[in-house]
Order: sequence, then C-alpha cells, then structure tokens
Amino acid sequence: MKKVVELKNITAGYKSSNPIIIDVNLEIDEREFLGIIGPNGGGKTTLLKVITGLLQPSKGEILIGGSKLPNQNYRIGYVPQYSNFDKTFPIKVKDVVAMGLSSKLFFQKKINARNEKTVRKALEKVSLSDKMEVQIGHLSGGEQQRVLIARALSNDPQILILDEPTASIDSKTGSSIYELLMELNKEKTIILVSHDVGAISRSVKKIACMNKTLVYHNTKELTAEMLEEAYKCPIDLIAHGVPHRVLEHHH
Amino acid sequence: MFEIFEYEFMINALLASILASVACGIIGTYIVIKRLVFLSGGIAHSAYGGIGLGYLLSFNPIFGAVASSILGAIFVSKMRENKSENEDTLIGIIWAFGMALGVLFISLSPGYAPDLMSYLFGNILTVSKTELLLMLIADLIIIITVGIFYKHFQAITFDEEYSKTTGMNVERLYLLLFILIAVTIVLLIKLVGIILVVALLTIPAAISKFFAKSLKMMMLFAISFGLLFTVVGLLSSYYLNLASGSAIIILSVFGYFVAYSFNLFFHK
Repeated sequence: MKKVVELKNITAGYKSSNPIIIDVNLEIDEREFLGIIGPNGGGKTTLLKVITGLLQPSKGEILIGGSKLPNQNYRIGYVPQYSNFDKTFPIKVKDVVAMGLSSKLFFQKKINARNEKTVRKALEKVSLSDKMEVQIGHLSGGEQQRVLIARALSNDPQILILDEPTASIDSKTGSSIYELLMELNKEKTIILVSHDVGAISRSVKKIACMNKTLVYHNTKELTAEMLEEAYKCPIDLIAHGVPHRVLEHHH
Repeated sequence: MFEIFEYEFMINALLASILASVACGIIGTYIVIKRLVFLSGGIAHSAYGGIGLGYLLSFNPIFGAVASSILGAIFVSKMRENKSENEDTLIGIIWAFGMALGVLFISLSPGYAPDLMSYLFGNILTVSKTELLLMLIADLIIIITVGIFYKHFQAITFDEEYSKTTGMNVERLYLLLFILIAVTIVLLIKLVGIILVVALLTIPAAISKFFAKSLKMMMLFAISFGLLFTVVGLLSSYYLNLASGSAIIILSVFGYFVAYSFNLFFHK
C-alpha cells in the first residue's frame, strides 16, 4: 500500500532547548485511520502541527505522498481544536467553510457559483447545507465542529487531520462525529488526536500512543504495555477508571 | 436652526466626523474582534517619538508620526511572530518609550516649544483643510486595502493557525493590518485626539458586534453608529454649549449601554 505520510526521526518543539516531541517515526498508509492518544502535554498537537507544516521540525524528515512539504498534489485538511476560535465572531457558516478553499480565490469579490457549489457540497457531507447563512456562534457545539470538518473538506483533501474533534461536546454528538469520520475514511486518510481512549478505539483502524515519543505497534491492539509506556503510570489511573473497556474490545 | 452651517469650523468638524467614522468603523471592527485595543494604543503612542523628532529636525511632525508608528507596527508584528509570552509588557514599553522620546526631542528643540498637547488631545473644532485632505486619503487607502484583502483579513482574524495551513502569509497580512491601524490612529489623533479615537474605534464596533452577522455588516453598522454619535454629539455640544469631544464620547457610552441591555434582554 502507498505511504501517504512518513515521519523519520522527527524532533520538534517551540524552543530548541526543550523539544516537545523526540525522535518520532511514523508511516501512514493510504486510507488509514490512525488514532493518537496520550496525556496532556505529551506532544499530540505538536505532532499534528509538524504533519500540517505549521511547525518546522528541528531534526528529521517529513514526507507527504512521497515528497517534502508543501506537496501540491497532496492536500491536507486540518481541523483544529474547535475551542480555539471566538464563538461571537460575526461570520456566516458558508464563509467559514470557504476559508478552506485556496486563498488565491480570495481576491474574487464574491464566492462565485463554482466555489459556492464546492462549499455547499462540503456542508452536505456533514449534513449542514441548510445552515449556510447562519452565524457560526448560533450553532451548537457539535454543529460548529462539523462546520470545521466541512471547511477542511472544501479543498477535497486526501488527508484529514483532526485535533480533539470531540472535546467539549457531549458523547452522543461525539459518536455522530466518529460515524461521519468512518464514512469519510472510505476515501480519505484520517489522523485523529484525542484523549478519549474509549471512543477512539471503536472507530480507528490503528492506534498509537504519544508521550514525547510515539509508541506505535502498527495494529489496533492497544496493549497495557503501550499505555503504560505512553502515560508512564499504571493504566488503571487513566481513562477515568474504565481502561478495561478498551482492552476487552480486543480480547 | 441651520445657522450652524455658516461657521466654517463647524462644517470642517462635521466633515472630520464623517471621515473619522468611516476609518474607525472599518479599522475598529478588526480591533474589537481581535482585542487589539491595547496593542493599537502602543503603536499609536510610539508615534510621539517621530513627532518630537520632526520638531527637533524641523520637518513636518506628521511624517515623523507616520514613520515611527509604522516602525512600532513592524516591532509589534515581529513580536507576535516570535510568540513573545510577555506581549503586553512589551507593548507597555514601546508605549512609554515613544512618548518619552517625543517629550525629550521637543525639549531639545530650539526656540518656541510647540504644543504637544494638541497632538495628545486634538480638537475636532480646529481641524484644518490639510488634515481633512490627509484623512480623506487615509480613508481611501483603508477602503481599497480592506476591499482587496477582506477575505484574507477575515481568515487570519477568525483562525490564524488554520490560515497558515492553507498557505497564507499570515505574518505579512498582520503587518499590513497593523500598519493600517497605526496610520489611522496617528492621523485621527491629530484630528480628534487620542481619547476620542479610542472611543470611536471601540464603541461603534462593539455595539455592531451585538447585531452583525458578518464582518462587512459589522463595519457598516459601526460606521453608521460612529456617524450618529459624532454628528449628534457635535450638534448638542453646539446648542448646549458643551465640550465637543466629551459630548460625543458620553453619547457613545450611553449608546453602548442601551445596545448592551437590549442585547441582554432580547437576544439571549
């Protein structure tokens, strides 16, 4: 199978004296659905920033679709943590989604018919095409999250990268987001970061643990050793006392 | 009733109100949604260094003001790029440093000590034709630049990080926005004074934010509210014999509380 993302000995951080992630190696196949879990401050978001090109690694090499960033043939759709934006910002749903289009189109006075169609299609995929004219802050948390997914989809990316897509939304809405992602996974490679071990293990195809470095066994099997290595603490302290649900799933 | 228009200073003041409302409505929208009030104040006050230098080396202080506020804007934008953790401390430093330099240069200038106070507080009733022309040019520059980069500015102010992933040069765009903010404030200060500038940049835009669905709408509302407050403020200051700047500000603040209460009771 084709490798779409390859990380070789990546070390990265915001200060060179204090790298957040050290010596990370990772290979992701086409149409993979990789879930990355790990403790807060373990470097999950930093890893995503390296893959999206937001953060230049201090060491190592990163290949997207076999070549270095930015690779025009491989588009990455990024869904940041949704709590990052101002909910009172005066902007309509369709304008948020249109941000995902190439910024070269921004000089056009109006979203033209073709782009409008692209935006509508992206919103249809997340079942929100009836909310195009609504101000983003008037949507529920789950809907706002889906708008951000639609924004990432508007550029028709091959790789979709999500940072904590279900944080701060209720678990029912959360599982509808995972259903949507599993549907999208039929066409796209998905990399997802979450601390929600239970939800993640039901949807993803492979799982990795991130804590400074990546513990990755190329399977969906989440072993007690992996968790212990990642979290550096006994596993029954994590996942709020329900780690066995995760493990049972694979017995 | 209309004898007010026989006074040239009154007509100039009204024209100044219109020009200031347009600039403040557009630029104020960005300042309010990105919470850049303090940062804008820092950039604006770095202008006084240039004003002082203008007096000392006897060139038109307004050019010194524009140049040094652009330097301030570059400094602030570099600071953001490097993700300084103590951003507001550094803003405080350039704020004070700019003013100190201005006062120092002026005290070193030979002969007649110019009136720095007019640069600090301005007076909408003493606006000259040249200043109106400068402001008109600034308004045109603002409208054209924001017209071209509307979607870029919308993207970077809404979600800076995501904009980077789409290949936009976010830092360059922020620098452009900061320079617009800097030049606007510097010209407006000469026109109406810093206190009124802060009021006009923040209050109309803040009221509009309660109702606007898009940035464009917020700008148009902010311009309208700005016009309403300045014109009504000016007229009432004329008929009731009040200080014009204070009348405009007090009216604006009153307007803000009306809008705030309205929003509280009817929208939520």
